[in-house]
Amino acid sequence: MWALAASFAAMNAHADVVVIVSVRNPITHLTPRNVSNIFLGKVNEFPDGGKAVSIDQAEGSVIRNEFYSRVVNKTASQMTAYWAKAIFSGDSFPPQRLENAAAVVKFVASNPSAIGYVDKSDVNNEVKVILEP
Amino acid sequence: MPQQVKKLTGFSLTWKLLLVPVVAAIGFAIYLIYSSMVLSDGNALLKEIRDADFPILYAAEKNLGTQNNIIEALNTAASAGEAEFLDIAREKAEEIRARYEELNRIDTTHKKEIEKLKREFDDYFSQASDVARLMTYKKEVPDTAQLMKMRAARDLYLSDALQFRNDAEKEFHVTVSKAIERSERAQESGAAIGAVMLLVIVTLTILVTRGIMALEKGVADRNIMLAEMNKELEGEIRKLKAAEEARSHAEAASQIKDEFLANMSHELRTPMNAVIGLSHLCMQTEMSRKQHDYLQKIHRSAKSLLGILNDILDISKIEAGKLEMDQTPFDLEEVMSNLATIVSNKSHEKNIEFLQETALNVPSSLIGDPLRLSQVLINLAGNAVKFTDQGEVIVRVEFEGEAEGVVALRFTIEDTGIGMSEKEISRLFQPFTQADSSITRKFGGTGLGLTISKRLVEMMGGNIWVESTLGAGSKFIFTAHFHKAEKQVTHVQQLSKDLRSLRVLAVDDSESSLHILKSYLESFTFEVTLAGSGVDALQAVKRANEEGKPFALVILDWKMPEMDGIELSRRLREMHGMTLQPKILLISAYGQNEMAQQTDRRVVDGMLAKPFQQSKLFDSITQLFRRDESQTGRFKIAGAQFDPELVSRIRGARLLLVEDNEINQQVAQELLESFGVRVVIAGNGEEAISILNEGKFDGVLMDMQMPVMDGVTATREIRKNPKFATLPIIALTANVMVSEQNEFIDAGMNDHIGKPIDPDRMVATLAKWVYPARMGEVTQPPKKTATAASMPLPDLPGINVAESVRRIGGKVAIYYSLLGMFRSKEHDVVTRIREAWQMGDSKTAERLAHTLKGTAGTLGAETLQSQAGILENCFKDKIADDIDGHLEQLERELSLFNASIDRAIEARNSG
Repeated sequence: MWALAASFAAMNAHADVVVIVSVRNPITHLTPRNVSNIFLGKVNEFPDGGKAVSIDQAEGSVIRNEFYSRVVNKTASQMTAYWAKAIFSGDSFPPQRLENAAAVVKFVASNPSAIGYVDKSDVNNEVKVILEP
Repeated sequence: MPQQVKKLTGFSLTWKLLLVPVVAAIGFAIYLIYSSMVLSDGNALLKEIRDADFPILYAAEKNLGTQNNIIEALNTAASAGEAEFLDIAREKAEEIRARYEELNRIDTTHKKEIEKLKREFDDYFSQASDVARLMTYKKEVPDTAQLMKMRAARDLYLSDALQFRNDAEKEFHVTVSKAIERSERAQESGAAIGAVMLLVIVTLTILVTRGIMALEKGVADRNIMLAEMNKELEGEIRKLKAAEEARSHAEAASQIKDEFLANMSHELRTPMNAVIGLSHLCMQTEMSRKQHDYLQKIHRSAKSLLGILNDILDISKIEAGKLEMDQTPFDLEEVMSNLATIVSNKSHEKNIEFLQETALNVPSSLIGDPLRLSQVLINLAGNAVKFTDQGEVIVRVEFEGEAEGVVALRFTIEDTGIGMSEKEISRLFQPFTQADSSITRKFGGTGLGLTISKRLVEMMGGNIWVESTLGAGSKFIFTAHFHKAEKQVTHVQQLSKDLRSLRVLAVDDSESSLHILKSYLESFTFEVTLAGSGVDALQAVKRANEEGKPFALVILDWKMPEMDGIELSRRLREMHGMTLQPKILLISAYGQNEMAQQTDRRVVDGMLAKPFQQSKLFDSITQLFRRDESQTGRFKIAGAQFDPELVSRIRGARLLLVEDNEINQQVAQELLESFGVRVVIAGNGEEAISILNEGKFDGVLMDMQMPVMDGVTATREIRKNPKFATLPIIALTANVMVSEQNEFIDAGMNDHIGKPIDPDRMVATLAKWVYPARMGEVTQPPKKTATAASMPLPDLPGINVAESVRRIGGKVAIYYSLLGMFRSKEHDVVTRIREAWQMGDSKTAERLAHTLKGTAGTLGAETLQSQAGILENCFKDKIADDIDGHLEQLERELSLFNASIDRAIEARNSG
């Protein structure tokens, strides 16, 4: 298991972003599509029907850029345009933004509906990784 | 039968026909007005829709679009971070605001909503622009709370704007559908009115068509009816034509028959005259009684046969339309007097009274046919006498009425004879029938008399009818029309003053006679007392004397039972103690002269023949009272005063007098010479012509009836010579009938003077025609045109001496010489007439009677004159009936006159 994690870390020199939920969340695995839908505000629940609240990280951070490019497949400016449009003409809201990974882990750990992304190294036992892109 | 045509009732056809176009026009006008109103309404609506073009909807729509633009602009600004787009968004927001302002201005009904919308928009836009600014400039996404707030404002505004738009749209739809609805309704009602109009017009058209059809049927019916009537009329016309043809055939046949009858009657008369005349002559010879009896019967039969022939001739004349009514002036009194003379003979023989009463208001001067009137009167009065055995016959003349100068007179002939039954009366006026065939046997006669009378009366414009009771007498009544002469001769002159209110006693046993006397006498203003018998009369005279009101005149009838007129006169004369001896006038049916022979002049003062006319009575009475004068002194006749101017014009003229009668020659000659006219005498027409050719004359006085050549023939001969074309020829004639006057004028005569000659008339007529050409020659004028009679007038009873003397210019000596001449020339004239008549020479007989009439008239012998006149007419009209009787009467009259002349001449010679 370590070996796997190590090799993974070795492969991603910059950061190793993972998607996490509370360990109390029954979800064990989500596809990148499921995750991007939730983060683009397109759906508000998990595939099993549980409520989903997405947590974003600060704009311009490496991890945020890593996440959107790997999971949602969009650059940071693309995301800005997307949300500008969604804000004025649409009904969805952009995800809640927290200052750092620790805050994200804490929030996710305490909220079974929350879903966030952090560097792999920030994961603790109160959260579980449901996607490793 | 022509069928009845049903009249079209109700309004006249014209009105009915007019109704259609009028109603149609009115209806159509209403329709046009209404539809134009509806159309204009619809148009207005459409225009409203068009012009409105719904600014609310437009603005709402527009704003929604602009809203999108704003969002896009904000999107762009936020996503790209380009601030220019914020400006764009602001501009767009201003647009929206401006629209709401505008809406607020034009649409007052939605003010609130618009205000609200505007507020919501402002709220939204301020938030959105905050968000946009944040994202553009700070590149920050606003927190969810801010976004949610903005979203809420956005959704509120958008939903309200959308709602507003939808409402506007809805309103628009409602308005349009309302307009459509109204238009549809208008269309529907227009169609309804049009339909009603159509219905009305169709109904009217049907009604009028029916009317026209009914009319056409009516016209057709009428045409059929007219055709039928036409056919009927044609039938009638054919029938009428046939009847007319038949009538004209019958008329032609009847004309031929009548002409034949007339000719036959004429042809029969000549031998009849011979039979009558010769049998009369034969009876004068000596023969056995049996022979005399036979001859008398032949004579009588021949006379009655002649009478029948005369009647038939008259009837034929009437039926052939050849009888014409004369229109000549005549004197009714003369006619009545003639009637009296003729009928009283017979009535006297039968010892019955014959009376006449002419109502006082009957005009005497008439124009008509006196001979025909006489004929009717003689016939009816003659019949009355014939069928009356005792009692009286009265002829009354009454005035019926007058219109435009035509008088209607009613003549009533009443008798106390045998009378007639209704049945007899009904057959009375049929030709050839008498009341009873037994009557014919008893009384003789043809029964034509009444038929002739009826026709004559009808020709005089009158009617004749009978009122009669069997055994109680008959009344024959007829009316006749005459023109009234312009100048009425008043026979009754003004009474002299001393005769007014004379007290008179009239005595007669006949009530009718007394009644007539009373009415006449009262018309003279007399006070009349009546007495029915001699005894009564004597008492009345006595009583009057005692009362101091004695009678001045007693008029009494000769024939009275118990005490006759003569006896009564004697007693009156013998009465003592009379304060006034009354004059006595004796009335009798006998002729005057006959009476004179039988009565003593000392017993009665005067005599009057019955029947008499009012004027005769008047004359007799005035004469009675005038006698006093003539006895006390010689009364003078004032010579006729001639107009000296006229006399001077004829003085010196030379005239040819053509006259066969010597007396008349002398009368005319004396008279003319007294005017200074020279006279040459010719005895007849032939002589006149030869004398005319020898010397120069200024004029001719021509007698009409002369032997050798009569006046008319002579005048024609004279006129043939152009030398005498302008010679005045004046007829001297006693005939003044219109037809004869025309004959004179046709013959070429200028004028006529009636005989007996009236000197005034003679002077006037001569002055008119004979104007002496020779100016230088002035004969010695007579010393006086008026001379006073210096010797007494001859006393000739019954002769109007005074008037006669006046006519010859007041020369009594000439009158005496005329009397002498008459005595020697005319003493045997009746014998001559009778001879001529019996020889069948009625022309000569007529001429002789005519001459006698003239000379008697000249001498003032009026009775003789009228007798001769009647005879003349008898000859002229071929009335053979009574000629013998008339001749006898004439003979009597003439011998009396001759005797009077003898006495008068003797008296003159001795005195």
